[in-house]
Amino acid sequence: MDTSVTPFSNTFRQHRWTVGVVHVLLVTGSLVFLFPLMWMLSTSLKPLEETMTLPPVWVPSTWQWQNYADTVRYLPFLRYTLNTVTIAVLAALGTVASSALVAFSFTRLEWPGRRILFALTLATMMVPFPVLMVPLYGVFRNLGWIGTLRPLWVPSFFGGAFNIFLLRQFFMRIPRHLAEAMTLDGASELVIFWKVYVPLARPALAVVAFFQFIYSWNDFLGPLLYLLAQDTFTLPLGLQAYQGQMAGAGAAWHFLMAASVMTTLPIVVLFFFLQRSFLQGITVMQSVES
Amino acid sequence: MLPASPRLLVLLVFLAAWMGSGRMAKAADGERVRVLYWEKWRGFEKDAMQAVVDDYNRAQDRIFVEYVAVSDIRTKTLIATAGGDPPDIAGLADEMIDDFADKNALLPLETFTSGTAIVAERYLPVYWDMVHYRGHLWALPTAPVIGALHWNKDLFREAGLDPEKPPRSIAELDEFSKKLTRRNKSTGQLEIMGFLHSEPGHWPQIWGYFFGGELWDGSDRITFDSPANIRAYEWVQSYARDYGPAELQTLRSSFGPVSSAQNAFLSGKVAMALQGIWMANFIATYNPKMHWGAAPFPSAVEGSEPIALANADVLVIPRGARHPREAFSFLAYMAEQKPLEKLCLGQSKNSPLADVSPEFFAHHKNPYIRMFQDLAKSPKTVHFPNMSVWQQYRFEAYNAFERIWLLQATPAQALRDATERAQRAWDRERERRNRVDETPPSPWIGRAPVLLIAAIAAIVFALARREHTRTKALTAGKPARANASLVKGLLFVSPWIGGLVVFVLYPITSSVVLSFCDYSVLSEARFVGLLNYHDLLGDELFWTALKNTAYYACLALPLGLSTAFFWALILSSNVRGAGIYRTFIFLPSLTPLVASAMVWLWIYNAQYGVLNHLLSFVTFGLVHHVPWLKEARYAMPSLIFMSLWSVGHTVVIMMAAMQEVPTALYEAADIDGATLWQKVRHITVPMITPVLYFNTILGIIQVVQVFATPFIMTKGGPTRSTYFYSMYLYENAFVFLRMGYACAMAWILFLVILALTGLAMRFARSEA
Repeated sequence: MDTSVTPFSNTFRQHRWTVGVVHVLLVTGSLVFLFPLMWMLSTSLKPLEETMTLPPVWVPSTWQWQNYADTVRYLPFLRYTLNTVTIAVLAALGTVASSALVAFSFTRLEWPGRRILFALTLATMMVPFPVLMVPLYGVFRNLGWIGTLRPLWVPSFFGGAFNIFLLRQFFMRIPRHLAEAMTLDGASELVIFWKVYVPLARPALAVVAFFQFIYSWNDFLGPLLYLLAQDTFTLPLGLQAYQGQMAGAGAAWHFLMAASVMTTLPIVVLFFFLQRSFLQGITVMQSVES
Repeated sequence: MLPASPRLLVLLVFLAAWMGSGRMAKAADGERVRVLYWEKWRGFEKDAMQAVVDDYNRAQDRIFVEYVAVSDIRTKTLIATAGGDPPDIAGLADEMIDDFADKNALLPLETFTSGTAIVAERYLPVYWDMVHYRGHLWALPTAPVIGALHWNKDLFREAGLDPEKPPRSIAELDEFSKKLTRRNKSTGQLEIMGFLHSEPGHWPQIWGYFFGGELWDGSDRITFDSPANIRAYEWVQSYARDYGPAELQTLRSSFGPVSSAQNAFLSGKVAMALQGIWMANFIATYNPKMHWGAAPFPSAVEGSEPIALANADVLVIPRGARHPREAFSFLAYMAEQKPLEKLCLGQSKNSPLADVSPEFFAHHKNPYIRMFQDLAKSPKTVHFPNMSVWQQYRFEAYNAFERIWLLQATPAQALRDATERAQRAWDRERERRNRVDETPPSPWIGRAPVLLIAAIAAIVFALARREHTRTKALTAGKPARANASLVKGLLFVSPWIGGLVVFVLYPITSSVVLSFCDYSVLSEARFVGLLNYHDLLGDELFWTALKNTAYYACLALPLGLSTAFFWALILSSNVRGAGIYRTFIFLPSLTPLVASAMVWLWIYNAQYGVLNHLLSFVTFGLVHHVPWLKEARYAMPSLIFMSLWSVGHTVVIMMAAMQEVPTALYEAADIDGATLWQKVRHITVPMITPVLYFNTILGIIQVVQVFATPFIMTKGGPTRSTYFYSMYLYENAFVFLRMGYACAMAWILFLVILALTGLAMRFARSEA
């Protein structure tokens, strides 16, 4: 048991059984939270007949990996994955690069008007997407981008207000004298940015990138608005379209669940790889926010 | 002095570079003109069309038609046309034509057909009629469908009925249905329904026709609540009354996919159904041994000619198509008997043409093709009304059907409500069109957003100048430094300024302007003053959506926050393995919304859903087969419960905040002998209050914009009980193309968010 003091420490010490209660709560809770994901996985490996029985079959009698092959054959899943990865990677890169530069300028460079522009940045965060939705569609239309992936990643190369705000807060914690020493050595701002701020802010940048990646991966409304042909679809949009085709009296649940697993799995795998820095990052962000 | 020019210059250079990079030249495809053809069909229906397209491509060397399968063809075609890059040909359905035509999204075809052999006499009247609207020809029919009664001869035999004799009247249908319906001997649950109105559920609005009713008067009145229609829906409701809506819903949720052997009709769960001519294909594929028959659906009106609903897939040329002439040449090819019959044979549909070749009947796979073809010729065969508000009317009718079916309203009441709403929508649409026709488009509408941006820029400039003078006073003596950084500073933020102007400020200002305009993208915006806001206040759907969203927000937000707080607190007890538990609780919040919608749809399924199974297990069978998402009173709570599943993100943030609470506070409390509850209440909660408020404000902004989950899971139903504000906004903008109206809705949403967050902040400040 951790030695740090929590509201529970005293209770745990006085009544040993309360530790057990907490464990039981946590195990039950974890089961409830994990159950839908497990159910998704289990259904995805069943033959159709086994999805439609009562009582339900908990573990498929035979692990029908064929369902995945069938789903991939029926749907251009690889195409969807490629599109989604393209958008998510470009958007993550773009948002990190541009937001970091802008945040640096707002934090470290002294130029007239930066305060008011920063205030404007914050103000735009309050505007909900539906307000922008219609005219933004017009902008992309005039650019000839409707039906392409561009509306989904190009804007992130122009910085996002929330990310700029987060990174600025983070940059403000970096001691000024580091940069000033380099300025005396004649280093330009870009060098300072690259050599001092970027390395020091790496965890924060990683979190911004990861958040953007997840956001773009999971986004539904954006692809729904801008993508037209099936070969440009992202995973979520493709999955929804697939379900929509079967709407009506019923659905092929084993295929739907297989498609859902394939949409979810990459994010989960990525999370397990980055878990430590990611959860740390959230902690950092949290302290920065408050 | 603040030099303004470098800033402007940077901005302009940047904008120019950026705009330029967006344009991309389209490469020409060889010498042949490439005609892009979007179509909804997949599978064998696609193969049939592809074969005809291949014939066409082989028959000449000037044009190459490329078939692309597109899902949700209506919205996609409309959005692509609005987006300025439509396909050359789109395969729509007949009932979409009028709406598309009114939105200025189609090219009328008379300019192409005049002087050709494409004339009324070539087609059956019902199919020729349905592609006309406001005196223009907008489309040409391809593969039509027609509905008829399908019955399962095996079940007839088992029930002691003559399998060769379908019901001839509604009374007979009821009688047969009673005989065919079967219940499970031990549980008493419905296993077979003789006849089920909601199967397959494509046409909930047409039952009146079999009682002599009509959907409209042919000019400007909706007659959905006529006595004949009311009689028809009283008949519909009698089934729900006899068997109970919950039981019927449960039976329905046991049906498998339409295109599978588990299909309600193929698996013998429904013995008689009003189905389209396509049913024969499913039977041949999934249950070829089944004995079945098809006949005109019986009528309650004695001596009536056979009644049927005809639909057709049609080809249109969207406005803005790159190659309209070439597109039409393919349309003309599809109007010839040979290719058209090849398509209809391949898809096993009837023919829309007046003249049918003997080979067509000889080779057709449907044993009842002659009956279907005769049905298409019947003078009583109807098609959906030619009206631009048909989508809304259909929606209202669907809604009325659900209310009747779920015993929520008497047929007279439900039909009257639907008629009133649809009529009001239609009247308003006409009034609006008159007003728009009287208003000339104004050049100021295009300029106003730019002027507003200029005004914002001027304010920013003035404020910056003031800020600059003040800094100069503070840093007197070394002004050079501040100035030197201006260009650099701007260079660093230039991407952001470009993005701010193009992707944020311009959309915001034009959204303000458009909210005072009538705008459909495809026609120029016209200034209509406060009409949008005025209409919104009288729009019942607006209030329904607002009410639903408020209901959801008022429960989902506090419940979500307290659930997250609970788990964060438990996890922060730091028992062994807390890290793993945290991962488990966090994982669901990473699941893409669409995937979680899928799995919850499955969990909530009334028949095979695992939730119902567990509930029935725990309550010893007392609670079973709850139609979670199919009944109005359960649907919203189900969505709220589901939202609690993905609170993991908030849990992690709250945990982080709890870990920053100085441990000395707890130690001191322990010395004073404080209980766990006292410590949580008087130390943890006050210490993390800022985080709680931050999450509340973020939560407010998110929760009022809920879209994807209900959009995928319930489509806003049943009976609009989960129709959210953002769904109505989206539909106004991109389904109805009422963009100005949608902008007005967006601004009202913004004001609501502003008021709520203001309230929360005020509360936070008074607490602090």
